[in-house]
Amino acid sequence: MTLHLIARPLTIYFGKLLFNLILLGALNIFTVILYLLFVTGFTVGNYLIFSVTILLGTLGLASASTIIAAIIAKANTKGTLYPVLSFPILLPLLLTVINATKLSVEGAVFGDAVGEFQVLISYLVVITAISYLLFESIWKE
Amino acid sequence: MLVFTADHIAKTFNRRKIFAEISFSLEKSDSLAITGRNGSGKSTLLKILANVLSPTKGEIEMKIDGKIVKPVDFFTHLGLVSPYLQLYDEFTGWENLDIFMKVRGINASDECLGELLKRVNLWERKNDYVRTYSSGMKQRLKYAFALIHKPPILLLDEPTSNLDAEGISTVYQIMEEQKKAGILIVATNDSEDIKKCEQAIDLNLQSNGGSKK
Repeated sequence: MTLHLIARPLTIYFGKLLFNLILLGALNIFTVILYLLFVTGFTVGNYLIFSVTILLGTLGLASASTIIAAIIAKANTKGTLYPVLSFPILLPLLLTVINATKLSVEGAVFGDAVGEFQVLISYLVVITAISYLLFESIWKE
Repeated sequence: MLVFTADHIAKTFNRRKIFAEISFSLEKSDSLAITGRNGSGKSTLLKILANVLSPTKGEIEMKIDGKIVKPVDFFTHLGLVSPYLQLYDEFTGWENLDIFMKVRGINASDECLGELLKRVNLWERKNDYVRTYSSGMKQRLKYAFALIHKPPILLLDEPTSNLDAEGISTVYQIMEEQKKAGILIVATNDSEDIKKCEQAIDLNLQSNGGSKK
């Protein structure tokens, strides 16, 4: 309610998206470092595929999480609703990211992962565009 | 030239009609009291006027110097004080106002902020966390929040709730100053608050048009 009175809805959306991006980016980098240091036998065969996957996965996850969080913000049972609502929306993203990560670990060439990246970019564009168009309505109701 | 118009505003929640056909037009120096029993939709109407909530039917229009203000930009021209407004308990009173000023892009000096806090009698407690404030002090801080950008339109929901005699006197002074500088809209059932306004709408009567008292 207070935020309604100090900024435009899209300013709030992009502010929250930016926060989620920074948070998820930091968490992903931290997780990768832990994996490389402590998981025996975990080696990345193609760092370019791995880096692009991390980047696109973080962008997609942050974008989807932001709009899902906005949808459930006014619900009483946020904790229960979030996984139920987010699982089907995040599933295509997670499956594609897992495939791309597998390719990077196996040391595949960049061309092999282009299909996965196209899916991730499309997902990111669709989710961000829908969020941009719908956020004001979600925010007000 | 400031004009604030509500045209046949109606609101329903699911199938329950809250109010319908609310219309009025206010100009600078006008003041309007919105009255009605509990649940008649006074707060809902104020939220609609502040563009926090969408009406089921009807339109709100704000014109400044002949130019129509987009609803998404209403927040730059109005201030709202209401019981459901939540300020940040984790910050001090000063920090709250400082953050809101920065988000709004206001370059006011510390002196301006200090004057505002002195006006609502919170200067001595400016560095205390809001969670330690009493309900009356939180209400005073909400006035500072609403007035920080000197809005031409001021919306007040239950303006004197939780306030002591000194606080009520300050609020009445703010209301008088607002009536000279812009538009004042008050949702209340308090007879003293209603007396401060020149026009009134009773939501129980589903009145159409601000009736001159």
